[in-house]
Amino acid sequence: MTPISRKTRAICHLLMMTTLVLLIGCSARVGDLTIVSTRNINLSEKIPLNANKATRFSGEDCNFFLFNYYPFFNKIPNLEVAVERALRQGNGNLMLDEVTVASDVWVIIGNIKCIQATGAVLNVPPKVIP
Amino acid sequence: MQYKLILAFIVIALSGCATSTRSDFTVLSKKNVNSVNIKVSQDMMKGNTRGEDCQHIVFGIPFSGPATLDEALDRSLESQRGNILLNAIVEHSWYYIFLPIYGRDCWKIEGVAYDTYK
Repeated sequence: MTPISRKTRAICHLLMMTTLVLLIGCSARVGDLTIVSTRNINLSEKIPLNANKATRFSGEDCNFFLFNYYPFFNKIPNLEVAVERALRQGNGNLMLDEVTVASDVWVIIGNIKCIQATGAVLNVPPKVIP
Repeated sequence: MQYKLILAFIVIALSGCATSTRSDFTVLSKKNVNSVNIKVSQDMMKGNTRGEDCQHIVFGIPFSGPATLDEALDRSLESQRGNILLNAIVEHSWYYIFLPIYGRDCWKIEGVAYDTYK
């Protein structure tokens, strides 16, 4: 068996370190909302809500932060965008039993911060503005 | 040379970053609402309300648990004893002085509280 050279060992260590750094990340549940919407809905009349019949959809908004502090284009992941994306996916205008998760994944020179909204999407009568 | 290095260090240490994001919601709640039928009328209105939850970090040491949307929303609803917020504005802001001397992470919520069980 040929002995491993010092250079190969150093490259292996570097690769292992890089892999470990790339695998570092964390996520936290920052919100549990019972009802959420970004659209105009008619709440002045009784709206039947049934979360069991609705399908759950997810929406996400992410941005890269240089050295953890400096957001690209000075933009923080926005909850409204995440909710809006989930509503658009589910073709609805109201979300029930929503869970908000904020996550953070390290990528050597910074990290990617995301906010994710997951919930049961319903389509209720919209508010008609005269 | 040493003087320039110290100066560069001070400039970097004092540089900061503040950024915030604003989300607008027509309806927002974390409390139990009537999940069979929901109706909001003018007599259920409790008034304008606001709530915030912040985390302060000094020299990398957090002085409270992580700031959450949940806590901010809870505080805003509790202050008016409501269970649902209409026309809510959610603001998430970050402020850091580099080399984490001081940092702040805040969730702020403003809106009109209603009590749908009234």
